[in-house]
Amino acid sequence: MGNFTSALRTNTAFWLAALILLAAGCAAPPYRMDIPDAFKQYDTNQSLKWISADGVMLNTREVKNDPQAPATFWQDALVHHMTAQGYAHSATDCFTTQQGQHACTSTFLLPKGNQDWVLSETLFVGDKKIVLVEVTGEYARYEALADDISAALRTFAPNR
Amino acid sequence: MNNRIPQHRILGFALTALLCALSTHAQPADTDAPPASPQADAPPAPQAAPEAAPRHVSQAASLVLKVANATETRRALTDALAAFGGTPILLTDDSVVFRLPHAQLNEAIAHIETHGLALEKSLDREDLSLRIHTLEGQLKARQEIMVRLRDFFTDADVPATLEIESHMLRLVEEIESFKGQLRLLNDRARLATIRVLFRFEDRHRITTTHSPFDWLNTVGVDTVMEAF
Repeated sequence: MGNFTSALRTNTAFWLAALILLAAGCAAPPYRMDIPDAFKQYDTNQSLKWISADGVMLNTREVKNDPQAPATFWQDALVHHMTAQGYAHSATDCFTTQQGQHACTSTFLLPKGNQDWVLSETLFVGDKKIVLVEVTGEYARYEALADDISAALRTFAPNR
Repeated sequence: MNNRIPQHRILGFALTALLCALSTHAQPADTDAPPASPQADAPPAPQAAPEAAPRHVSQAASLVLKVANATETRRALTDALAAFGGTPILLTDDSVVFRLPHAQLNEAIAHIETHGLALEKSLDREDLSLRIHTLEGQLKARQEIMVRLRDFFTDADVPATLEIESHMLRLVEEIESFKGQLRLLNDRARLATIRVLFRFEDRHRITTTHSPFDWLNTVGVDTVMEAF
């Protein structure tokens, strides 16, 4: 009886710990990046969502890699589509993350009200899905944080 | 002795005569008519031909430039025109005004045109020589009157002194005004002006185009902002 009780306690403790760890894992966003000092992160388990004091916003989301295509294909498609919409393509910067994942950031400009705004789209293309890291903000404010954002993107890694 | 004319009256007549004489003397140098009452000690009228005098020409260029990003272009132009001796004197969201030496104007315009698509270009040249020479003549005449008025102080009584002071006050105002105008004109003649107005590319007309790839249709600034 004593052995049974002891085993039950041990098992309960094990499953409880496992559940806590699982819950903690589920509560974390699916990706991680080193957050620059200028940004604060929203408490969400859906995506990485950062915002700076002057309104530069970063969001991540996933889309299906369908039809399955390499990064260069999607990069070209993105630039053509955004240019056709009226965005001005400013630059494309391709890089490899610290974990060895290849990615490209395309930057676009557009006037919004009487300001110039920037939209930067970084594509991490996988076999089944594409992770988009999207940043937007007023031109001067974005430019002030551009180096920090670029450095943070190089630390991008999946959380699970 | 009682019907003696007051001293300040005499001084008033003298001052009026002096002003008339020197005003006639202050005619622009290119007037052909000889002075109405040439004075023995007055310098001889310049006989040199007017074309020998230095020309004072102002140049002002204006460009309307179609650019992708006004802020970036303005910064690039400010850096680039420094090499031409250009200094920005006015910066706004959609324009920038530079002053630079006349000799560099054409090169600077050509360089500015490389930063975007020049929609409009104009160059305004104005010969300021006549206005500058006229102002210089008027200024010189007022300064000579000032010198002569000081001589009247020696024997002047109180009313005469007050009248001289009132004349001198008016002259000082005129002299300062002429100096200010001359400074302005000489500055315009010394440096050229370039005004660049920025116009955005047609990108401000964001149109909704449909992509066969669904996720591309969701990419945009508004999508990012809606997530917050």
